[in-house]
Amino acid sequence: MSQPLETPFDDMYICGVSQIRDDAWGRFKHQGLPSRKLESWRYTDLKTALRNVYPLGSRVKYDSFPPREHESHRLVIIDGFFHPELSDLNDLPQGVRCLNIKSFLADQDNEARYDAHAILQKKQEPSIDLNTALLQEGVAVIIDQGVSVAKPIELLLIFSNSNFSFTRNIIHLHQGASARFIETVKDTTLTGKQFNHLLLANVESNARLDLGSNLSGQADQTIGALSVLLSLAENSQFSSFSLVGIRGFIRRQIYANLAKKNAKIHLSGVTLSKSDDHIDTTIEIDHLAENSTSIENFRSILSDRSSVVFQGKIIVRSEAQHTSGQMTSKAILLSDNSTMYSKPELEIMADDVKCSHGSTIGQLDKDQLFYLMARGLSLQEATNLLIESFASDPILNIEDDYFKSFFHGRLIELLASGAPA
Amino acid sequence: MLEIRNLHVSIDGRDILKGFNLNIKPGEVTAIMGPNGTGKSTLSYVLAGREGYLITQGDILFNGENILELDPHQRAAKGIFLAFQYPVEIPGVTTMQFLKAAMNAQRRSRGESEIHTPDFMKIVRETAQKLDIDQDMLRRPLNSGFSGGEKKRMEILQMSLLTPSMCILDEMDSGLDIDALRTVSEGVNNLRNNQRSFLIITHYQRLLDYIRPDTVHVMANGQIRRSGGPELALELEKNGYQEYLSEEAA
Repeated sequence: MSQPLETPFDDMYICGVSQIRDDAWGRFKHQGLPSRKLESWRYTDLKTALRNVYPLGSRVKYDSFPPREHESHRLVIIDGFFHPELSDLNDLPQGVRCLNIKSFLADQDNEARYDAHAILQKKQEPSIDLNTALLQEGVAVIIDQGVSVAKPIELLLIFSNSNFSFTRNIIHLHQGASARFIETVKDTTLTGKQFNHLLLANVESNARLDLGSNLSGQADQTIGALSVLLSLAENSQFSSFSLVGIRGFIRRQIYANLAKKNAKIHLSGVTLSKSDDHIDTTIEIDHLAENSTSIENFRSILSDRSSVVFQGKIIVRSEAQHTSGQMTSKAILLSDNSTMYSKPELEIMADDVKCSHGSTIGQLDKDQLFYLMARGLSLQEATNLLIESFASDPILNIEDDYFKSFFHGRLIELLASGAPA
Repeated sequence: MLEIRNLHVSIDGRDILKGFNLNIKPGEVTAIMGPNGTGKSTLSYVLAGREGYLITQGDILFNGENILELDPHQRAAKGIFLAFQYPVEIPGVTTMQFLKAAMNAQRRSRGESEIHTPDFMKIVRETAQKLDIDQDMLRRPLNSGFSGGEKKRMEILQMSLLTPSMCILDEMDSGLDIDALRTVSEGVNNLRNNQRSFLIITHYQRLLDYIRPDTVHVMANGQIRRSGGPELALELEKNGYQEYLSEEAA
């Protein structure tokens, strides 16, 4: 990666986008791909993993609609490009706007655009800089003040060609709005892909955003970075659950600013890894104002030679009194050759806060296994039932009933298809 | 039905069963009594196929077939059921879900088709009612937060639904009050027939007031020391295990 590539944004000097991209590229060039030298990438050496860089893809025409999994307003992004012709743009409810990211960034009258830029500027991080520098396409969904969207909005990201894709989606909920988003990331073929995706969400005061992420794929050569940048205003809520059943070398990172008082964030997820997968979940929650709450609740199930990283950091600024922060990461190693790296961190500068973290790494309980087998379940069936039991806590705590039953069913499907073992 | 011949079992280099012999006929209710640490629970685990026990000598024949090489689920499918002294809690898996998984797993092993959901619901509801198990308990995660009595009733419910031919009851009476003991014993008695055998492992004669055995064996130091009818249990209740323990010391 030595020179900036031709991008569809070269004509955008006029609205400042090109400058932002140049700056990001400048920072990236200076720092290079993240490696073990960076503390936050200590366990995920992207520089070593990304020896062969795939070329950027170009827009390909698709005639067939991808199969539908949800009753949703669906927005389709394939191999780096937004496909309006495959998306449900015509029946979006009133108060919901969807724009191609390029139009969004070029619209100088759009306040949401400046907010998004401000959120981006707060987190300078090599993988996000690279996303800014090489961004191809994506969508921005803006939900007007007080609008509550009944049907979920699905952001469907399909990776089907061996290219490098740089995509970005933006969600902006104006005051008092509420919506559920499903982020479906699908690696659809067996050959490796490379991608760098950023979801940027701005949740204004009294607004509520629920996000369910379903990551699936079978290509063990895939290398991907999925970043989430979040900003939560006063009395706003964000909750997300992610089921990670994608293969390869994957870094997921979530950076959340609880910028104003009474903001609430609930992050949870289940990761299943096998063969030589490396799956990293890195989270940083920054409590900047008083009375905000954060919950992180993650489970990982590792088999074969796979490795999983969980890094969770809760920062409580001196102004953020009465913060409540809870972080839990539990892992089960199904194989002696799998490796779990768990690094919980608390950085507390206020004196009246309640923060806790717990991390466990263990194996399946032999008494439970024997009990189930004595009732007739084979080793595989008993293992699957115990994994379901182990993963149940974050799933049962999903507030949204549709998400809860979808992810529970999806987990059972993954287990039945032999995902972990 | 069950024949145990000269069984020697050790754990971590320590001999637990030292030439154990036992024969149980179809329909027979056999009680094994003995002091703590004499190998009673080891016997039940070895019969059910638990890992971690080294069998150095002997055979276990079930309906004429040697089952030592079979995994626990294969033995279960053949009709061996162990009611646990301490049933294991499985959070996050409802009792109903577990029951269905267990019934279907055994059916599949035997080459039968899976049970239809309405049939399953009906039979579970009816059987649960007989054991004073309310519907709410069936919706809760398996054994999670159940009282001692509830856990034991759940074991009997499973035994009723899985229709085994060889039922091993390991310290069925531990942790039960009189009422629960009566309910559980009734549940067991209702399952008695001339094809189904029981092996009841217990410390106390009390349980045998409710489930009347055909034969009683006294076990000490990894072997059967004495065999008799129900009267042997009464004698033990009066005299204790002292004479068997002193034999051991000598």
